[in-house]
Amino acid sequence: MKRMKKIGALLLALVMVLSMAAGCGSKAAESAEQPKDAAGTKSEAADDTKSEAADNTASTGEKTKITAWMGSWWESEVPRLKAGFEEKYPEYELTIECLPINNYIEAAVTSILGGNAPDALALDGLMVATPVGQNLLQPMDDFMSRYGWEQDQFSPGAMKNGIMNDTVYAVPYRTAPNAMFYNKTLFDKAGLPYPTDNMPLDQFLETAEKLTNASEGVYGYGIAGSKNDPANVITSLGCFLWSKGGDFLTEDMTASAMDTAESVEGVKFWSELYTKYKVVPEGCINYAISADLIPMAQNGQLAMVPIDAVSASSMDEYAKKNGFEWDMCVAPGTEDRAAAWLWTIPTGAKNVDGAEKFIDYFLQPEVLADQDVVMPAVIEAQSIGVWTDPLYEAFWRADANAKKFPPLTPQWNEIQNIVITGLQNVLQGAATPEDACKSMSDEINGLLK
Amino acid sequence: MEKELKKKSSSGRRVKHLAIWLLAIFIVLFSVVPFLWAVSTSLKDEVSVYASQPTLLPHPVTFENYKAVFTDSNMMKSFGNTIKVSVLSTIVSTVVAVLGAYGFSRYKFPGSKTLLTSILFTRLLPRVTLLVPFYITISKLHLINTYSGLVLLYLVVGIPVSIWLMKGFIDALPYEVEEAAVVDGCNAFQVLIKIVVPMVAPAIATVAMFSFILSWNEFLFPLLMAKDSAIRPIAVSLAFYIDESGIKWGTLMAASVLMSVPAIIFFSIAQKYIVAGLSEGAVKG
Amino acid sequence: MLFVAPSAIAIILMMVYPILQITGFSFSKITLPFFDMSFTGLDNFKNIFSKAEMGTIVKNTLIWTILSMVLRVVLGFAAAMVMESKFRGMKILRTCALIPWVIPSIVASNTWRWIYSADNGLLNTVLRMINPDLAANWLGSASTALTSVIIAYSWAGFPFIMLMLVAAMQGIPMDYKEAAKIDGANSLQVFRYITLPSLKQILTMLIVLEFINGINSFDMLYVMTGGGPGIASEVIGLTIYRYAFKNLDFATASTISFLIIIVMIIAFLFYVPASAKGRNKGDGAKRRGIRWKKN
Repeated sequence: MKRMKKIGALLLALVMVLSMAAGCGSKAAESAEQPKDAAGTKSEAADDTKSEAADNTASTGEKTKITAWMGSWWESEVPRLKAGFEEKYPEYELTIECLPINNYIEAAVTSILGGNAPDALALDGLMVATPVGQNLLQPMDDFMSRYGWEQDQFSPGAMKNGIMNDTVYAVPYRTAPNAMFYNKTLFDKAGLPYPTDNMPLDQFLETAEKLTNASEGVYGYGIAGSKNDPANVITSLGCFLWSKGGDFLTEDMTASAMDTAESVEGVKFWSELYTKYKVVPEGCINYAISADLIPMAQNGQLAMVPIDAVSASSMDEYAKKNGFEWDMCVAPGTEDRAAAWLWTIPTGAKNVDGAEKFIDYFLQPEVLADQDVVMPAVIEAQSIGVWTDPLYEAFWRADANAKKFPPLTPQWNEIQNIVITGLQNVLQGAATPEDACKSMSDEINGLLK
Repeated sequence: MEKELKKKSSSGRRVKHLAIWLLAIFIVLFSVVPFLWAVSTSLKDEVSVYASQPTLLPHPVTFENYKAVFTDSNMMKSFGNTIKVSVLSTIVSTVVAVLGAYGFSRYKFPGSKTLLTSILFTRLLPRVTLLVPFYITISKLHLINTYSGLVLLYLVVGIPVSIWLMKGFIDALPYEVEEAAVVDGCNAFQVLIKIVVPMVAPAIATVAMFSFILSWNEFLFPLLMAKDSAIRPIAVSLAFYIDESGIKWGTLMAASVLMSVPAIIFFSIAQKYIVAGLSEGAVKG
Repeated sequence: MLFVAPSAIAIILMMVYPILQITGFSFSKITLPFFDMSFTGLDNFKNIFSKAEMGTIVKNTLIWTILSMVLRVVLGFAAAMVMESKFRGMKILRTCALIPWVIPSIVASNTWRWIYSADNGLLNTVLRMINPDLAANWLGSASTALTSVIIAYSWAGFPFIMLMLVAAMQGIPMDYKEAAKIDGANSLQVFRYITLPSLKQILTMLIVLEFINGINSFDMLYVMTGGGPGIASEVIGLTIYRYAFKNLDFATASTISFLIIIVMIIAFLFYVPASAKGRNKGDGAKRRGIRWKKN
């Protein structure tokens, strides 16, 4: 009986310790099952949410800690960046945390709002505007002048992704233009000349039609309509919308431009690739470029498709296996979307000074170019090392061509959702391009009011 | 007459057996085909993963993906972390659930019903609106990037379901045995551990499985609160195989197949307790 | 009291803040990053009810919640019945049936998305072999998108129901069944008069839990359709997510959450008295009969 009592008490104690640990906090840190290095980050976490003042006075011997967040694909570069930075600035201890793209923005927002913001945060161009509108990111004009960076040192399209109301909120380190992949073998089979940069749209459509052979699962082109990957849809539509002279918003960003004749024309051209001419795969309405269209191109099922640099670098393997030749050129039409990843400094970053030093270090051409993960946005870095490889030639031409981007307004995410919902309605035949554009415009205008 | 009856019942039984078998086969196929697909994908090389004519049998068979997972030190560390945290949180959650359910089932105190109902209602709060408040609470407790933080989280996420289910089972138990024990001089804890726990063993095993799976598969909370690679669980590490240029299907599938092995082992152990109830069932009543 | 303490403390500790926050945010305008609130009365509610899409979203949510609950329970029940029979090989079956539950949801949803893919998906490839007309754009057409995801979602969840029911079935004393059989009841009657009544309580509980689970869950929908095409598969959980983390509009997200809770509490108030009446009769007498010496 006594033993039973003991076990009972022990179990209860276990549970109580847990809930008590939660109740009074400070002692919990000592509990046995904690990893060693967690203790370090904890003291930082304890800092009051609002104590924004950076503790720059790195007293002798004690290193100031700074944290930077990046996408998971940077993981292999972390040791090099950390060693290089700490060598240059020995007073700092740098932690680079790599996060998966799944729920990246949620993680960032939660950390910032929870008073635990990283000092430097890498964001996709489309992720910048909404947080700026909600005061979650700090202006970086001072950084630019302090460290002697000029806007014209960056790929122009990429740079524009970080400027709102003439203020720099984000500094691009990566430019991510899409080139157009084409399957030479399919062109040869159809007896067609290879596409060239900025192919006129009517010629593009004609070519795509001739290349399509749906019964064999081969299509002339691929568009993306997936709600799960909105950035891909904007890329896919953008090139046609802008080339036809349309846009999402008016230039002053106060009203929708989706109901202008030009925009309707653009949406019509894009959607009719699916609804009328059927030159794109059947599942397009739910496809993303990266997850669905690129694999189809790798199988030799797509004659033309937008392609990113990472996918291009592994395309040869697939071409060899599936027996086709391929090449790339600049997208059809006159305009294309400029995409970028940029460095930002969140509100509540504990060490702005350290963050700026790190970002400056990161942008140094020889540091930035010393990797083959992403295309550098700093122009000087673009002519170093692997980036002069002929593979990227088409991408640099595409980069120069890509000047348009979605409007940098805090409401962009909502606008984007309205637009993609409307586009899907057109693709599934529930609305005509005219009607859909009209109702998109009404909704957007309601939002901007 | 008797013969006829026998004949009838045996043919009836045959129909019943057939029906059960068909149902069983359907359920197995439905459960397993997507998994077989995962296994087969994990054995394909990168260039043949996403073929236009998908094949169930990999050709050629390659173990490269498994090798890649095994040599990925972050991945292996995550495996260990997940096992640690899942076992720990399974124990804690199950103990708390049994205690709570027993308390709610056998004692009435002012507000007990309200408390019980509100525990269930916490499930109604959408996760996304919980993220920021949870993060702030955990961070105020200094539990970001700690196992304790994760265990506490899983406890809170899973406990409503566990308590309600446990309570259902305990409610169904006859009181007489417990009363007899009380007469014999057992106190409440002794009754719980000596009498109640053995009687609801199958339910405890099931609730333990529920808690285990919860901490095994949870993605969003650990992504936010256990970013540090020293404690990062495997569900988060898996997401590293999905990036903006697409999904690395081969390695992703290899890792998830590997990941399901410990869970299946845990299940077969827990199942023994559920099935053990089968033979003891007669004694129970 | 002591028994309940740990769970109560954990829940109160973690839940008080969110509940206060949701309630407060529902009636306020929020300024980030410090969540400064200014009271705006019912503005948030008006704003939500003025949205044209809400009707469809509520309808989708009901379809999603009810259909996936029914499918999960039916599948789980069938699996439990099958597993209960003592055939050889049932152990293997049991392990197989648990697999969907073991697969992490991030993998499950991506795999199902791939299986459903219109052009190179496994499902369409198989269907085309049978008859090319059977192939469909499962996730890309309004008529099939929601149902397709519901099937995947039920796949991932039914093993849990199965387990719970098997555990409950173990609790039915064997002699009841034996006695009924001796009295000449066929297996259908045994099921109807012995098995089903003893499972009633746990079944009710599972149905309530699955219903609550379904309302907010959106992970699979997010990966597989993102709510599309159009808003054909958008459910309320997805909408809340969109407002909170895409638009960083925590006020609207909280207001919708608040509304869900209110609606559910009302539903619960109607449901509980009705079901509790029947159950508590016997319980009450027993409960009164037991007295602890301590505590």
